Amino acid sequence: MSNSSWALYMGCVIPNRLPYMEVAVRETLQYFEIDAHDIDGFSCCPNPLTLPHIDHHAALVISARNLAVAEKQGMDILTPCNGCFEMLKGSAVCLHDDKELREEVNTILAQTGHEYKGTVKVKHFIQLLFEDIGFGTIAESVIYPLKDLTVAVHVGCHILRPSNLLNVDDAQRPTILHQLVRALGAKTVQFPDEMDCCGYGTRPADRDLALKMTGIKLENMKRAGAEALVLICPACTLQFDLMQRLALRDVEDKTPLPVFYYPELLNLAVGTPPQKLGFEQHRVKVDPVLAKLL
Amino acid sequence: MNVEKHLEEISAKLAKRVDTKSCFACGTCVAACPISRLTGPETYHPRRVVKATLEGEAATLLAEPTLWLCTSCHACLEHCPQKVPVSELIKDLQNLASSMGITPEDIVAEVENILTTGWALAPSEQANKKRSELGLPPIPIDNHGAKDLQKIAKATNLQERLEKVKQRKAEEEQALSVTEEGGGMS
Ligand code: SF4
Ligand code: SF4
Repeated sequence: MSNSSWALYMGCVIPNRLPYMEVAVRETLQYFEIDAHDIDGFSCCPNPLTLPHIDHHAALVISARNLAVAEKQGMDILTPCNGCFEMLKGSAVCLHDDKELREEVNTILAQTGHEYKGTVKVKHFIQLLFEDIGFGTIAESVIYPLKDLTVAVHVGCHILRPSNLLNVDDAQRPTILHQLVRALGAKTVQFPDEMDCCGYGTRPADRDLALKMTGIKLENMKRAGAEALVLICPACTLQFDLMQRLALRDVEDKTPLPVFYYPELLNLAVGTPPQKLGFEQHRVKVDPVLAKLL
Repeated sequence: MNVEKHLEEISAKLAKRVDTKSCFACGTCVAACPISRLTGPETYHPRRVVKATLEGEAATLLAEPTLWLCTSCHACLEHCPQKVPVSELIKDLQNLASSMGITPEDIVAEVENILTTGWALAPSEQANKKRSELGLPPIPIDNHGAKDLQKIAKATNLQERLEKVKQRKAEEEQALSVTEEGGGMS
C-alpha cells in the first residue's frame, strides 16, 4: 500500500448535490485505513467544462493555487470527481514538466500569497482502489458477493482523456471498472457506443441535446441486459440518475435503470450496513436491486 | 482586441504542436465525435474546425453557437491518427470568442459564481439538510478562496472577458429595444 498522505479534494458537486457519494468514499477510506485528510484552503478546481472555455490560462492558475495548498501541507491530492481530477491532474502534469510555465503561473499566484513548486501528485479515488488497494485485496474483502447481478459500467471521459496527461486506463477500451465490478462478484455487459460522453458536457450549450445523449446510452445499456448502471463520476450521476426521467422522455423503453456509485456496491459487498449509505437519496429507486442483493 | 492577431497565434500554436500538414482529412475525429453523430456532420464537424484554422479562416466560426456544443470528451483528440489536438483547438477558439464577448449564458453564470463564492456550486441550506440526514457535517464556508480567485481573474484575461460578454449583451439588448421602438412607430 502507498505511503502517501492524501489531502482529500471532494470538489463541489459531491458534497452539495450527491452527499451519498461522499459517505461511500469516506466509508471506503476508513475500511481500508487510507491516510486521507480534509484540509482548509481549497477552491473550485475549476470546473473544466466552464472556466477554461473562457480563459484556459486563468483556469491553470486557479488549479495551481489548489496544488500549492496541498503542497504546503506536504500532501498529495486524492479526488473522487472526474472533472476535478482532469483539471488538477492535467495542471499538475503540465506544471511539473514545464518550468517556464510554472514561473509564469507563480508570478500571478504571488499576488495571492501562494507558490507552487511542482511536486504534488493527483490521484483519482478509483485509481487508489486498483493501484494502492488492489483487485486482490478488494476481492478478498468481499463477504456478500453481488452474485446474479448484471450491470453496465460507464467510466466517464474525464478520468481517461486526454490520456497523455491523465494516464489511468486504456482511453479507448478501459477495463478497470469492469474488473472492479467483477471483483465484487457481479457481471458486466458491453454495449454500443460505451465510450460516448454521458451528455453533461454539452448541457450549458444545449440541455435537450445533453438529455438525448443520456437517453440513448440508457437504452443501449438496457438492451444489452443491464439491470443497473455503475458509475464513478458525479457529473455522470447527475445526468443518469437525477435527469433520468427527462432523458427517457424521448426514447421508447421507459423502464427506469437504477444507478449505483461503485463505492456503494463495494461497501455493500464488504458488509457496511446499507442504512448508512443513503440509498433513499437516489432519484431512481434502487430497491429492486437491493432486494435482490440483501 | 485584434482578432486576426489572436487567430494567427492560435494557428501558429497548432502548427507548433503538430505538423501543419498532418491533418490528412481522414474524418476519424468526426466519426469519434458523439455530438457530430447526433446533430449530423452538417451541424457539427470537428474536422472543419481544424481545416478552417489551418487555412486561416477560423474567424468565421467564432460567432457560431455550434462552437459551444463540444462536450470536451476529447474523443477526437484521442482517436486522431495524426495527434491533432482537436478539442484543445476548439477550446482555444472558444477563448477567442469569449474575448469578443461571445459565451453561452450558463457558462458565464457559473464562472461568476466561482469568482464570488470560490466554487461552481456554493454551499446551500438544502445541501446541508441532505448532508445532515446522512450524518455528514455542513460544508465549511471559506471565503478566502474567492478573494484569491478574483485577484487571479484580474491578473489574467478572465475578468476582462467576462466584462466584454456583459458589454456585448447590453449592446445587443439596446439594439433590440431600438428596433422594437422603431417597429412600434411605423
Ligand atoms: S484532425 Fe486528425 S482525425 Fe481529424 S481529420 Fe485530421 S487527421 Fe483525421
Ligand atoms: S471533444 Fe468535442 S469535438 Fe471532440 S469528440 Fe468530443 S464533442 Fe466532439
